[in-house]
Formats: sequence, structure tokens, C-alpha cells
Amino acid sequence: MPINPESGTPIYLQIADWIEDGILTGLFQEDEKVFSQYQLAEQYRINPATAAKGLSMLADQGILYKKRGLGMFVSPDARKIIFTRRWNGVLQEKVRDAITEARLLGLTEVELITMIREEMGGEK
Amino acid sequence: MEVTFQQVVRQYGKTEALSGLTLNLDGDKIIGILGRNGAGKSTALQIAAGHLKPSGGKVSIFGENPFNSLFASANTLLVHEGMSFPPALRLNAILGEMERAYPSFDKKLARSLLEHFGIPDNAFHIQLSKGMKNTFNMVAGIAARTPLTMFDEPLNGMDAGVRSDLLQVLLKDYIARPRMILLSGHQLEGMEDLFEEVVILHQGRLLHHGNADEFKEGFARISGPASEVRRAASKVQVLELHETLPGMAEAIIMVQPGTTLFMNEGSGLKSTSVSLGDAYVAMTRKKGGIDRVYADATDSR
Amino acid sequence: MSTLTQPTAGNAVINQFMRNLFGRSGILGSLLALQVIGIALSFFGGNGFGTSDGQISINVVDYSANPVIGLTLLWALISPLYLSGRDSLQTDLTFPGSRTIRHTGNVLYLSALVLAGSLVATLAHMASVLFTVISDRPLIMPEGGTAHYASLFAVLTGYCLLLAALSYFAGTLFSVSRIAAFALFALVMILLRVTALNELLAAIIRFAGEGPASMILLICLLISAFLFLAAMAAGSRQEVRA
Repeated sequence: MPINPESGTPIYLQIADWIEDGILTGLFQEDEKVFSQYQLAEQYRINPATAAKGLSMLADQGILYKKRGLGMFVSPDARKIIFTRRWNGVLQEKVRDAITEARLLGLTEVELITMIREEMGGEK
Repeated sequence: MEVTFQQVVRQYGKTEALSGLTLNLDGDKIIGILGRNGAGKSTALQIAAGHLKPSGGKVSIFGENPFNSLFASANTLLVHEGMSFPPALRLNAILGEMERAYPSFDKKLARSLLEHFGIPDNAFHIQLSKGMKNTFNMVAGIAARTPLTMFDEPLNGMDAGVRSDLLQVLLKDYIARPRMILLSGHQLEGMEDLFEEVVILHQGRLLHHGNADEFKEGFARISGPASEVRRAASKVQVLELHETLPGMAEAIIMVQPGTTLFMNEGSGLKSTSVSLGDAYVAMTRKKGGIDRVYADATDSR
Repeated sequence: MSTLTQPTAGNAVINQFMRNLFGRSGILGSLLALQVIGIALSFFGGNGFGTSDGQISINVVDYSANPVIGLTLLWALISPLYLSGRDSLQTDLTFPGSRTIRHTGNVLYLSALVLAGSLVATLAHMASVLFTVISDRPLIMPEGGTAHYASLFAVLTGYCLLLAALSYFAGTLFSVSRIAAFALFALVMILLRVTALNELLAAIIRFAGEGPASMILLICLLISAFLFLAAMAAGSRQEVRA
């Protein structure tokens, strides 16, 4: 993964995203060690503290866990956590889009909900 | 605290290079010292290295006043444009001299790096071109491994490839042997992602000191239709706003860290991050510049 | 924090001395070169002069080591400017030390070179007697024998040190640049002309034969020490502005 300092995403988030991708694709297995902050720093030529920030963010979310003196490991729930969060995120965004579009067209809340119900009913 | 500046003033005749700089640095970190030309970066570093005596205020490096301190100077090295070596020594002998002067100096590393960069070790320092001189100086600075190593505009005149390699070596060696490294510059190309902290000097004073990632997150660049940019900009602190194409504009704004910028869909506004270089330049822009930031900040209250 | 080095002042002074010896070999080199030139001048007797008042004409060919002694004195006057100058300070700032340590190392170095230079000049003076023999001229031995040479060595050391101290003090005070030091060297060379200086020195050598050499040496040592200390005091706040 190339780090892109010009993209709107801070580097430590890019690092976190990349590790998440690795977990989803199976590059990092459950209870397997991921790269250390120093390996990441050298690889992407960033400050180790920045890399550590990305790792600790994942640890805070329960995606990684720390073994003292050994490094960061992929937690058994990692895939589930990432999946849920990303899924929610994507869906939320789509809903927001729908609301914006509805407002532009002058639809009321009730009309929009009706529309969603119809769509869901139709799929059954 | 490794480096402490307290209300440090330095005058050159009538001009004031530092006008009350207060700064505290500690920890084995890579710290960027940023500022425009004449902001006082070089003077501050030369004072820290004991080369210059402050006109006023207090400076302490590893607990000692660096001016005429053997202890401070043995643990500090300043790599700068004016760095010079005994004129009769060839580069290889200079490395030997450095090894004798600094116990932590790694001659083997220095020699391998010189070979890598194609600098003949039987040359004299004054024979080297500007870029090669700076390369040699930086190699010497990295290999010295002094607990406080300062690089003042180290990359000037170097090829892009050499810069990139040197920064990679600096990072690797820093990871292997953590120490405090100060990197100053007004052009940052390639250095900015190495910083753990940034110090921004402006007109001889401290303008900002803090975590580099957080500092970067404090800025955003929004671009799009001029009217939309103006509307979005009216709610936040604006450092810079200018028209790009007729009817289009771009602005660098300050955002609260941790908050996401709210922007209407369909307004055509685009938000991107701001590089460290652009951020500090926008912050220290002369016209308007920091004064306007202050004015905008107080007006909006 | 990474491990801090605890340097010793003695080591730093030695390093400064060694840096001068090897890193500024031009200082030692110029002394050697000037003395070689001086010996050559002595050998060829190029320092003769003739005078005539119309009735009597005297031609003297001087085979003494005056050129060596003169050039050694000249070296003592000029080279400390280079050592105390701005460029040298800039270089020394690259290495651990303090201004006092730097000056101490420099003073020791200059003293050592003055001692060596004076010794060589005295030996050359002793040898110059042989030049006379070689060129088949009447041999006039200086009065006093060995004592004469001992006195010469003492006086020469004293004066050289005095000149070096004076020059080092001036160089520190004005922080001359490398170019200024060379320019001054050239200027002194032109002004004094080696031969003119030579005549001047004859007086010193005669004096060395007669006067109380130990007193001269002592006075020179005292004044030199004072000048060196003055240079250290003046140079304790020296800096190089970018």
C-alpha cells in the first residue's frame, strides 16, 4: 500500500485501514502478529509514533491486542468488528445520501420511510 | 528536559533574530523546526549547539548552558551549511577525527554511506560540491549518534535520490538508536512524515509546538465554487482564501481536531488535507497571516 | 534519553592539539618550508651586502643562519593569526570542547612548534659555520662557543613565543579570516623584505651572545603568558556569525 500524504486521510488512519484490509483478505490471521510500529515506520518512511497511533487505534477498537514485550496480535473478533463497522459506515452513508436526495426533491420524512418500506417489502 | 529555551533573545547589531523564544523539548523524538527564512531557526539551533551566545534569556541543553560547555558540546552535534572540518584532512581522516571526538560515532556506517553516495573518501572537504558537502555533513551527523543531533536545512542542493536515501537512513538509524533529532527547514520535501513533533518559529518567537499528526489534522483545504467556499469559510478560521479559476476558489481553513467537516452534498465543495509545509506557510503568511487568524478568531467569538 | 557522554577536559585539549598537528598541517608545513628556504639562503650566502664611502669599500658575505632565524620569527608572527582566526574557530565548533579548551590546545601547540622551530634555527646557525668552510672562506668562530648557542636558543625561543602570543592575541581579538591572515603574511613579506629583516636580526644574535639570555627568556615567557591569557579572556565569548 502506498502512503498518500496528499489524500484527505491522516497517515495513521491509512496505516490502520491497510492493516484492516490485510485482516479481511486473510494476510493477517487470527492470533497472528502484525507488523510492529518500527517495521511500519521503516516501510512507509513515517515516524514510529505515527505508526504506533494507527496500531493503538486498532487496539482500542479490539481489532488488535497487545502481548507484553511481543507486539500486536490480531484478535479473534477482528474480522467481525471490522466487518460490522465498515458495513454500518457504508450503509449509513447511503442512507444519508438518500435523505439529501429526498430533501432536494422535496420529499417528506414519511414519504421517504414509506418508500424504504415498499422497497424492503418488495424484496421479501 | 533536554532542550530548554527561556525568553531567549538574540540580536545581530540592530536586527533581532530571536525575540523572546521559549521552548521545551524532551524525549528521543524526531522534531521538525519549521519557519520561513529569517524566522530564527538557524540562530536557535546555533545557540543550542553553543556556537552563539544569546543576548538575553536562558538556554539549557542537558542541564547545562551550552555556551562553552564541554559536556553539552560532547553530546550535541549541529549539522549546518557552515559546518567545517580541519582543512588538511581528507574525508577518511575526518571520519577518524569524528570517531575520536564522539565516542558513539560509527565510522563503518559513515564509510559505507559515503561509498553508497559515490563520495571518494580521499577527497578534501572543500573540494566537494555544495550537494556533496551537505551529503557528507549529514552522513557525519547521522553516524555521530549524539544524544542531540540537529540538522539545519540538511537537504539543500542534494539530488532527489540522495535526499530520499539519507532520510531513509536517518529513520532507520533513529529506530535502531533512538535519540533527539531536530530537523529544520523551510522546504520540507520528504521530511514531514518523519516528524513526531513540530515546532514553528515565526519572527523570532514560538508560534506553535505540538504533535505533528495533530497539527496536520488541524487544517483542511476546501475548494469549489467561490460562493460555496466563502459560505463554508465564514463559519471557520480561514488562513488563506484565493480564487483559482473564475468563479472557483480554494481556502485553507483550520478545523477542530477530531471533528469532521460538515459539508452539504451537491454544493460541489471538495475537502483535502493540507501538507505540513502548506499549513505552516499559510499560518505565517505575511499579509493577513497570523494576525488575521487572530482577528478572525476573536471576531467570531 | 540515550546515554550521555562524560568527556574530560584533558582529552579535549589533547584532541585540539592533535587536530592542529594533523588537521592544520599547513602551520607546521609552513614552518618547515620557511626554515628550509632559510637554510638554503644561508648556504648560498645570499645575504651579503657591500658598502662604500668612497675611500674604503667593505664587502661582507654573511654565512650565518640569519635567514633561518628571520623566517622563523616571521612564521611566529603570522601563523597564530591563522590558528586563532574565524575559520579555525568555525572548524573547532564541530568538535566537543569549549573556548578555553580550544585556546589551551592552541597555546600548547604553538609553544611546541616555537620550541621546535627555535631549536632547528639554532642548529642551522651552528651548521652555518660549516658553510663557510665549504665555500673556502676564512672561518670566524663566534665567541663563547656552546654558551653562545644556548643563549641563542633561549633568546630565540623567547622572542618567537612573544611574537606568537602577540599575534595570537591580535588574531583572537579581531577574529581575522583565513584570507586576511594570508594577506597579512604577504604584506609583512613585502614590507620587511627578507634581506632587510636579516640585518635587523644580526642585532638580536649579537645580543644573544652577550646579554643575560635567561633574563630575556624569562621576561618573554612572562609577557607571552600574559598575552595568551589575555587572548583566552578576549576569546571566551568568541563566535562565528553565519
